[in-house]
This record gives sequence, C-alpha cells and structure tokens, in this order.
Amino acid sequence: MSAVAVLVAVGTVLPIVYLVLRAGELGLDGIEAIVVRPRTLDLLVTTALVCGGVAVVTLVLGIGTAVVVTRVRLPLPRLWWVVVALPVAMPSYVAAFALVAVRPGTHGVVATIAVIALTTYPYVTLPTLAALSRADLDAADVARSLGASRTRAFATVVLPQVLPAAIAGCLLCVLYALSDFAAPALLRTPTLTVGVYGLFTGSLNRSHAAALGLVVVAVALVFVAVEQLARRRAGHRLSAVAVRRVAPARQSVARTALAAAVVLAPPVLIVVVPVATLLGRLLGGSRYAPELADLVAPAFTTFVLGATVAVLAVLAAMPVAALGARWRHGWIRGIEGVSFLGQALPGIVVGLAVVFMTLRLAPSLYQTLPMLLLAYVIVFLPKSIGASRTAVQQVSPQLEEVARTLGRRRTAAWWGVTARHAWPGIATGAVLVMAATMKEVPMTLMIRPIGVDTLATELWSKTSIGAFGAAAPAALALVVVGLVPAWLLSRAAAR
Amino acid sequence: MTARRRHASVALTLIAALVLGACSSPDDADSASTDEETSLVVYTGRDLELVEPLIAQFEQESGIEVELRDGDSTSLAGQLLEEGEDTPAQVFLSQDSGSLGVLSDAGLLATLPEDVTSLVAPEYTSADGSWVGLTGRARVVVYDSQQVTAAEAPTDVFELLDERWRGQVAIAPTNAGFQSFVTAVRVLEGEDRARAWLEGMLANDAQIYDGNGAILEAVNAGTIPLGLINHYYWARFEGDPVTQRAQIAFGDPGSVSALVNVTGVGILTGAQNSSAAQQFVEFMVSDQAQSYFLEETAEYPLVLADQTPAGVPPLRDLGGPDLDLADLASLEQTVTLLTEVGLL
Repeated sequence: MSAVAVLVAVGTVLPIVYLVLRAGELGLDGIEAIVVRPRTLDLLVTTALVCGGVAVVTLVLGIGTAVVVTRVRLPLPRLWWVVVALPVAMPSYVAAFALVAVRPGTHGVVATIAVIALTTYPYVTLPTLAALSRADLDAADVARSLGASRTRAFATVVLPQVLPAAIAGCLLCVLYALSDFAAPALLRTPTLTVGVYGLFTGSLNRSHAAALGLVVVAVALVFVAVEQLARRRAGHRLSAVAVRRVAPARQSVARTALAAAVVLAPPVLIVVVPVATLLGRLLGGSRYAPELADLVAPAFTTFVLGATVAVLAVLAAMPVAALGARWRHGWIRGIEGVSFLGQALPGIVVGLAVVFMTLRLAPSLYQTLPMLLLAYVIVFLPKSIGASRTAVQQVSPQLEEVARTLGRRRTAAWWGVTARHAWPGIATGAVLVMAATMKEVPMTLMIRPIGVDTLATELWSKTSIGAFGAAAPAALALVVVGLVPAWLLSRAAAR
Repeated sequence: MTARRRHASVALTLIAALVLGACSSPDDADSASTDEETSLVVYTGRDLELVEPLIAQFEQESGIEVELRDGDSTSLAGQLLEEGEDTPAQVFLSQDSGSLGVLSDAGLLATLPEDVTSLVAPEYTSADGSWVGLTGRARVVVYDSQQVTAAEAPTDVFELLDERWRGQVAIAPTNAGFQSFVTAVRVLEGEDRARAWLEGMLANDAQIYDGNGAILEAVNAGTIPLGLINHYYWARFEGDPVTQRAQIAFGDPGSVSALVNVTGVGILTGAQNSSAAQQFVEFMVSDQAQSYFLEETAEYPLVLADQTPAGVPPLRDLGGPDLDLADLASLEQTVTLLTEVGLL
C-alpha cells in the first residue's frame, strides 16, 4: 500500500519537477531577477488577500450550509444535497464574466473573492455534509442534557468532528484561488498566477514564467502546512462503534423558509444568474449561435470522461488516504502535502508540464485518450485524497480490528468495514474530481486526442471570441451534466 | 464540417470501449503522420468558430482531411516549443506574428517557397521566409460613443497622456497586440519615448485589463470611455458592431498609432516535405481564402492588399511601418521594458 502511495505522490509532483527544471535554466541570479522585485510583492499581497478571503468565506459558507441541510428539516431532503453541490459545475470565469456584465465596472479583490468562493465552497460543504452524516451526535445530546446551550454543544462536540473535513475542503478552495487565472484577470485583480501568465505570453519565455511559478509553489507549501497544522489541532475522533442517525428537529415555517433561503441563495447567485445572463445575451442576437445537436456528443464525452476519472482517482487516492488517516509519520504527511501542491499551479504550467513529461516518459501515449485520463487523475487526485482521508479518519480503527479478529483478511477488512463506513466521504471525493475534470480547459486543449470535444472546450471556444451569448447552451449543459454526480452523491450520502 | 466534428463519434466509441474495460488503441494520433497526402495536423491559434468554415472549403477542394487542435496562440506556441521535433503538428496558424517569430527563432519552422512569401509585402511577413503573413489587424482606439464623440476620439496615442484622459483609458499589457505596438513605438520613436509613453500612461492612471475582449466589453458597457485594441475584436462582435455603444477610431495615417498587426501561418520543420502542408499554406494565400478573411472576419487580406473590409480605411492609408514585429530579440526588449515599468 505504501508503495502505491509513493507512486501516486511521485505522479502528482511531476508538474513541480517541470517547473524547477525550467526555472533552473535561468540560474539563481536569473530567478532572483524575476522574483525579487516590487511587482512580485504587489502580486503576493493581492494573492494573500484573495486566498485569505476565500478561506474565510468558504469555511463559513461551507459549514453553514452543511449544518442547515443536515440539522434543519427541509422538504425533499435529498434535493438540497444537489442544490449545495451545484456551484462546482460553474466555471469561475463564466461567473466572473456574468458579474461584470450585470454590474459593469465591478473589479478588485472583494469581487474576486466572491466569485471564487461561491464557485468553490461546495469543496467544504460536501465533505462537511459527509462528516456530519457520520458524526456522533449522541455526545451532543449528552452535552445538552448536562446544560450546554445548543450553540455550545455544537461548537464543542459536533464541530470538532467535522472540522478536519471542512479544513481539508477549504485547502482545495484556497489552492484553486491560487491557481485561477481567468476570474482574477477578468476582475482586474493581479494575483501571482495572473503574473505568471503575463510573463509567459510576452516573449513565451517559459523560464521566466516558471521562476514566478516557484513563488506560487512556495505560497502553496505555506497553505498546505497551515492546513495540516489546523487539521491536526481541530480534529479528534470519537470512538463510536455505531452511529445513530438523528432526524432533524421540527421547526416553524418561517425558520424552514429562512433555512431554505440560506442554502438556496449562493447557488442562485453563482449558477442561475450567470446562466440567465448568458441566455439574455443569446436572445439579444448572436452571429455565433450554436446548433444544439453539436452539444450532444461533447455532453456525453464530458460525462464519461468525468465518471471514468472519478473512479480511477478514488482507486488511486485510497492508499494515500488510508495511510494519511491512520498513521502520522512525517513522511506520510510529506507525501500528502506534496500531492496537494499541483493544485496550486496555473493551468498553463500544468498543461506544459504534462506535454513535457509525456514526450519524455511515454511518447507513444502523447495526445491519446489513456494519457488524457492519466493526466486528469494525477492533476485532480488530491481532491479525492482530501475527502477520503477525513472520512476514513472518522471511522474507528477498532471496527476494522474487530473484523480482522473475526477472520477477515487485512484488505478485505479495510474495504468491507472502513471503506464502507467512509463511503459518503469517498463518494464526495469522486464527485469533486468529476466536477473538476468536466470543467478543465487549458490542459485538455493541449493533450486531448483530436476530435474529443468536451462541454468546457466548447464553452471556451465560444467565450474566447467574446461570444458569451452563444456560449449559453454549453454553460447550461455543463450545469445539467453537473447535476448527475450531485444527485448520485445525494444517494450515496443518504445510505 | 472538419475533422474536429467528424471525429467526435470516433472519440465516443473509444471512450465507451475504455469504460467497458476493453483496451483502447493509442495509435489514433499516429494516423495523421502515416499518410501525409490525405491528412494534415494543424494547430490553430485563430478562433475556431471563424476559421473552421474556411478549412472546410480547403478539405473539400484538396481532399485532405484537416485535424485541428485549437487553443490561444501563445499557449499553442508554448506547447510547440515543449514538443520540439516530436510535435505531431505540421502547420501552425497563428493569431499574432510574435508567436511565429519565437518558433522561427527556435528553428522549428521550415522555410516557405518564395512564390508564397513574395505574395505579401515585406513589412507584413517574416524577414527570413519562415512564415507568411495572412491578414492584418489595425490598432485602434475604441471609444464609448455615449461619452465621447467620433470627433473627440483620439487618433494619436500620445494624446492619451493628456490630463483630460486621466483614468479614462484601458490597456492590456499582457496582450500580444499591445506588446507589438510597444515594439513599434520603441523602433519608430526610440527607446526613451517608448518608456516615457508607458510611464506617462501609468502616471495618467491608465486602467489595466486582461485583453482586447475585456476592454471592448468594458467600453461597450460604458465602464470606461477609451481603450486600445485591434479593430478585429470590434468587427467580430457577437451582435452587429455598427449598432454598439463601442465604436472605433483609426490612428493618424503614417504614424505609429496606425500600426497594423499581422496574423500568419508557418510549416513545422518535421513537415517541410509534406505536400499537404504546402497545399494548406498555398490555399491560405489564395484569392479564395483571402476573400474569406476580407468578407467574413473583416481583416485586411495581405495578399489582396488593394481590397478593404467594409467600414474601415484602406490598408495603404494606415501606417504599416517597416519593421519586423516578429523579431524575438526586439520582442524580449519590449517585455523587459514592460517588466521594468511594472506592467508585467
């Protein structure tokens, strides 16, 4: 198992190897010339503000919506799982465009935080939901019977059980904010990644871009370290053997309506409004109006690619997640941390790295389907690791030990007991990987086999010529296809 | 319909096979190079939506199947640099001359036959015959017609340093077209004046945008009165450009403000003997393709230099300064300058 974990980590570190190789061409002096200048400091400050804001907003919004969905009795309970998952289907650059279209002139750090946080907060909500559905709530009842207020019981007993999952999800949001180019660029907020793109597009100097890319990696390292520290401090595992499912309490109609509004508002803002904005443009007349039939094949391709990558990523993530949840050796934390760094890299760097590595390691696979799938798995794996690990961590190892004393083999006991109990978390990871795969553009454009169109590449080819109205059907289709994994997740979690 | 669409079904079958656990064959990508006479791999940085109908015409007439990989020009050029000799691409169709210049400098482009390169005036094509210019795009000032009248719109970029336009001008320093323009200012007006112009623009609170498209959107929404873009972006507007708030003003004839940026095409060294690649390039400089650019994308067809797209001044009235905008060394000096003034 450890061997697989190491292999997985090696795969995820390849883009960083590429970055080091390219930046290395400059020598230390050359790197210093690019990195040590006032502009870097400006970019760094903007990046810190954006990432910090995204961390706070996604944690609050993510935990808040998760608590409302599980603890408030809402009509059609499963529907709400789908609702909270929906924003991950929306590419941040589409949301950013819509924001500028609806409110011309909008720009800056706050707008960037809003767009990125609203398109990523399900990375927190979903793992938290999964954790809540596994949390030991009897202890909360005990706390309340001993006189603790509702809030205090939640804060001291329930919250620590779900915080590791929420913090792991928050790291994904922050790393996405670090890597995102289009949304900050459209909202005129120069982050480090915007700087990397700027250096690259000028004279196509990959070494200069890579040198600044190393700063992105350094920032990501800090975030990963902070996350590991925060998660270790926040989390503890209760030794519950069986978890009782507690039905949400009944409440007044007004409370229900308020709860529904809280959960519904972010998806409406970030999914419905942008799609409606694009549709409005389409109705206003577009010379690039698409034929709907052209979207059928890309929609199918998008779904199948997403689902395949999700399954492969879960299988690849298991060893790392299992080790990370059960043992706390320094080197395991190292593997884990390293595997997250790739999430922070700008899309163009990841794309070029995959091109570079494939042509050197497996040239016969270049621009083939197996290679595209492999690249997706490597790049999006950490999304699965994060969700799976915290879920496995929540399952008491004693359960597995019991299974082994009853004669189960080690692997069988792990899959039959631990994986089964951790299933909502593992499925959440799969959904996050699927959503990310379905939205990916820069790398897909470079390495997809010719003829493989996804909804995201269709959307890109329309928006890249400014035809946002014509992009509406593809954006809508992406959201609809995104509903499928969200619905599957709601079923997995409801088991 | 080009290969891009036709191959969708092939791709779906492949994916289905993969999902069912069958082995998928990796030789799909090789099929292009096994028979060069019937198929051709083209990397296109030009917008697919606008170039696809033209490529379909080529396929129909030549019987050659074109496999298109699309992306933005700089990303594709970066990819071609990483691929080097191993690239499956035979032809690169670029949105800007700078990307072609970088590839040429890396020795990745084959020399084109002189009967192709001589069709285009020397100021609009490569100096060494490694690529040929196809179309021209004029640098223009885009203005919000509700805030600025046509008569008020500046036609000289140095006017933008005026106090009157403080905080009123949008620029896109990361955009290849803007960088070509800065190169032109450096070469025609001197390094000092170029630096002074950039610093003056910053001092006059020029607003930084992501690209031509974003600037056009902002001006059209009334967010900012003026912006520097290529006329092509206005001409290809999703709605009818003439009815938009955003209108364009061309630069003073003969001055650097009337610069024309060039798009072009080159053949990768690995495909220098490919007759399909030669045919493709010849088609792009043919009257048929040049007329398509004239009528469908409102660009200046560089081979049909005496013809003018609707609603814009003739090419000969624009500057067309005699300089090599694809010269890498010069491009790097521009990037250095932009970096030094803090715009990159």
